[in-house]
Amino acid sequence: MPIEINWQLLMPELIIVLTLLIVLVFDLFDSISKQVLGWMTIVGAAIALWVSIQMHQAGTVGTQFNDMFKVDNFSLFFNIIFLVSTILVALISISYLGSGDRKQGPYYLLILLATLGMMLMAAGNELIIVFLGLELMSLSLYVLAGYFRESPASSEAGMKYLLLGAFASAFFLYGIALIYGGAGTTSVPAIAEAITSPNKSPLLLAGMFLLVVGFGFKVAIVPFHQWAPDVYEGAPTTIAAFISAGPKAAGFAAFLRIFMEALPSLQVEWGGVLIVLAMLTMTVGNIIAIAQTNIKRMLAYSSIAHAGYVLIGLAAANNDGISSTMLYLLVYCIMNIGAFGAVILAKTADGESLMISDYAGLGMRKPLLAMFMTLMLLSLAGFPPTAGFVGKFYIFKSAVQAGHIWLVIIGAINTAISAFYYLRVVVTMYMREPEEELEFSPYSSTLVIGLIIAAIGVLLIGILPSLMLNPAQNSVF
Amino acid sequence: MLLSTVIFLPLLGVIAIVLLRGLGASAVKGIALAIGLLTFIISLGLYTGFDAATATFQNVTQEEWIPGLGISYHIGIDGISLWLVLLTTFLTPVCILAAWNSVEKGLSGFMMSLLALETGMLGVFCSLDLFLFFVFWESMLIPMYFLIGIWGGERRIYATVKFVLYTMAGSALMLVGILALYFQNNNSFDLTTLSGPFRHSDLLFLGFFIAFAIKVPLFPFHTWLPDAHVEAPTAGSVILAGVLLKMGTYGIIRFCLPLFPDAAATFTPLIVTLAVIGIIYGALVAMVQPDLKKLVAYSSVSHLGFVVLGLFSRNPAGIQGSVLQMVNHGLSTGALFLLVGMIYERRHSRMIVDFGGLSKQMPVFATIFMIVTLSSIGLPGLNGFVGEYMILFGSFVEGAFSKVYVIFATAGVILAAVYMLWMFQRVMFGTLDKTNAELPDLNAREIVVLLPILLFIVWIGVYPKPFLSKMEKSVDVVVTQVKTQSATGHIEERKLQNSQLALQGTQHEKNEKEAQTK
Repeated sequence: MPIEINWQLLMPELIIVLTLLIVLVFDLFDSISKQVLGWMTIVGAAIALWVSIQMHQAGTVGTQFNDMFKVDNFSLFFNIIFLVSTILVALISISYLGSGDRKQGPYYLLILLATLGMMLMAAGNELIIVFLGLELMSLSLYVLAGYFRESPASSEAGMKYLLLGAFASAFFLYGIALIYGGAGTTSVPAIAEAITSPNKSPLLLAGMFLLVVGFGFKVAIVPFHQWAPDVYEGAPTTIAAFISAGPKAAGFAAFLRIFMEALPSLQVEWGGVLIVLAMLTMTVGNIIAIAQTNIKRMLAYSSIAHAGYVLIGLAAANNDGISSTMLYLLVYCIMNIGAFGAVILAKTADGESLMISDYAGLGMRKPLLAMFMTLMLLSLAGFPPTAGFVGKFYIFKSAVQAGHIWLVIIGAINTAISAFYYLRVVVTMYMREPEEELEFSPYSSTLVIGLIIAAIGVLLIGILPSLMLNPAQNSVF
Repeated sequence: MLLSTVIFLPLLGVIAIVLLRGLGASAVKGIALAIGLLTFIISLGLYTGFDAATATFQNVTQEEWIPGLGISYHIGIDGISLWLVLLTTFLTPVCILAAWNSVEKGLSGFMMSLLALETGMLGVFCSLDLFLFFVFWESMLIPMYFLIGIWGGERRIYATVKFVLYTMAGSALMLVGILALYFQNNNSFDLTTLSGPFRHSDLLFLGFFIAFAIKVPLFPFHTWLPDAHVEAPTAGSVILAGVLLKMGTYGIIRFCLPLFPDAAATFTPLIVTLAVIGIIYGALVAMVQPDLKKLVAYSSVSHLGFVVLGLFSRNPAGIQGSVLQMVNHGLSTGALFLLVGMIYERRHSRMIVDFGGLSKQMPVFATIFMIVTLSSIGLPGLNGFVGEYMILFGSFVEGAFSKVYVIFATAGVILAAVYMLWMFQRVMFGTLDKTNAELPDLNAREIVVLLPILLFIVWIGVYPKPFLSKMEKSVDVVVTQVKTQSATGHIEERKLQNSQLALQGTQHEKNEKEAQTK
């Protein structure tokens, strides 16, 4: 039986595939500057972003490939998150990799492949598709984490990520198998139908918990977070930014889709687990972040803590919970990539300056850089009028609505704790005198463009939240 | 529109400084002062246009802001916030002028922080939407953080981080309270539509009250205050004492008392005890301070104790006295910090032992210092007397608590005279040290900074009626809100109603949940 394919429904994915092929072909020509490949990635992702936004506004809905692939506002909103992240990462990568390196082709190729994997995860209406997307994304990221082969730290990061990631994938796959055993299907809507009966089979419960573990590894929630700081520290900074943003959002996209749509009748079970995990993740992430002296490790623990905030929205499990999670992930991706971008901008002649103490006196000597960094950190800490505040507020609101007052209280206290280490960087930049004079490299234009976009995003969503809030509220499946 | 202009004009000044800071230091100072004065002049329109005959909010603007979350841009003032707005717009140009020559590095940043702070503080006093209130409440932290952290003294980093963390810890709980209120207010953050009784009102009251108590600061949440005051630059100290502390007492009168009258009644004995401890403890600690600035800082703890005492007396005289005393404290303590700053600029010391006999060397300085000191003590004829007298009178005659508290609080007035006059004696009289023999007296700019404050100190002391008459109606409304709901005979009835409402609420929640699962 021939399958009828609705090409329009697949437009964003197809554009990414096309871009990927173009990058692959142009990489063959040695005469072309490799930075052009970066710009191609940006243009391709931007077109896909534009198409996704158009489809989102039109409210396009439909399924493809025997219901395995579902396009709706939910998946389109996540496409927007992924593509914005990809564009920002590509922008900060172009100058980071420099023009000298002749082996940049695969870098952009892998970023596009990972993006495609994320889009599959968000649109997967079938556990197997979600798994395929997850693997496509993860395999690309393993390579990217170890992309600097000469650097032992980078190689170690790639290896660690691969080993632990493979474990996580195995857990995930095992969970799928058990759910198939319990429900007799791997299709998301069919699972929901199959488990309406009151007796919950232990197979389903075991499968569900294995899925939590698998996702927990991918999005780095405590106690499955140990890989994150090492990988972030060792991986190229642009890739650390990438791993902390898009893939985390993709993990949560699939998490939402599977748990809210396929397993709503098990909500009593997973809801409680998520509340405990949220509390653990926020608290452990924030408290360990206080002790960090390396800014990449600090951002790693901060991104763990942010996964905890997102879990509050998941645990709320109401409509506002879903849309607040989506809004928060968008905001988080922008501000986190912005923060990593500012780290890259603080480059000295000897390489990146990664110790927080190196930032002393930056506020006076590099006002623009210090301003970007401060804005991103204030947003991460959740101060108004930045986007971080709005996102956090909305998440807390949805949880109060669901009656999880204690969870919100712990989240709010964690916000106060996190202010301590974010502000410490600001203290160092503006209020301490430098111990040694570091020669900072001049700004590169693409990096500054990326940071300006991030800064505008953070302020715009912070002051006029309706711009992104209304789309997010329209995206609940 | 007028009110929005007042709130956001300083922010416009920030943008102007960003764009024009290339023109040099004097241009930056000029812009800042011009914006500060202009804001003050425009804000006078709020006073002249204020209708004292009504207690409803005036100059109201309400625009949709985030309809998806039930949030609107809703501002307005009543007879209580009017005075705090005017106090803010008045003190900001004073601070800008006071910092004229004392800021060496990063002048444009300093002025920008000061102006951004003004917008934040004005927003807090004018917000009629809980979300908007919280946005201003939190965003005001950032400029203050920079003011203390960059332009402060030796231990500025410790002080500024402590200040921010204390405030954030309090506001975290307030945020939860705000959200909980939202769902009991038909999914709206609008303050004017809020009316009790609320479920879990005791917890909600505490959530708000702790945030405000940290800001006031009420004993035992006061430990951040001496550090922040001592390390802050003069302008920072003036704003901190003059306006920021009032945000706490303003929050109590705007949220805690009218929204949760029953809870306020429940916690009155505890809070009043803490306030009286603060009055006496602050005075005793101030007495033994060797550092002038620290002495003034601890005197703030004592003075704000009086304000809290008056608020919880829950009768018109006490609350009016408290509101007036907020303004008074802003004026007299602000002036004290300015004077300490001026002497510090000359001598680079704030230690009392380093001084003595200054009255001969600096007669103008000594005269102004004397007036401000007497105002702070509460000498009849000056502003402090009116406020303190009304607070004590209101609390004693028909206060909502035992007279014993008032008797102890009155001891604080005597202690204030002791520590202030003793300090004055040690600094101004006695033999003049050789190192101080060269100190110049106040210059014209410094006198211009202090004179307007002196004017108000005398005016409020001699003829407080225009100040009190504008706030009367608004205070009466607060009092009736507190009284009608918590009059002794009604409490049991209220409790019954509360529990019925709570039952209805849970029933409602159940229905909602059922609807959701369907």
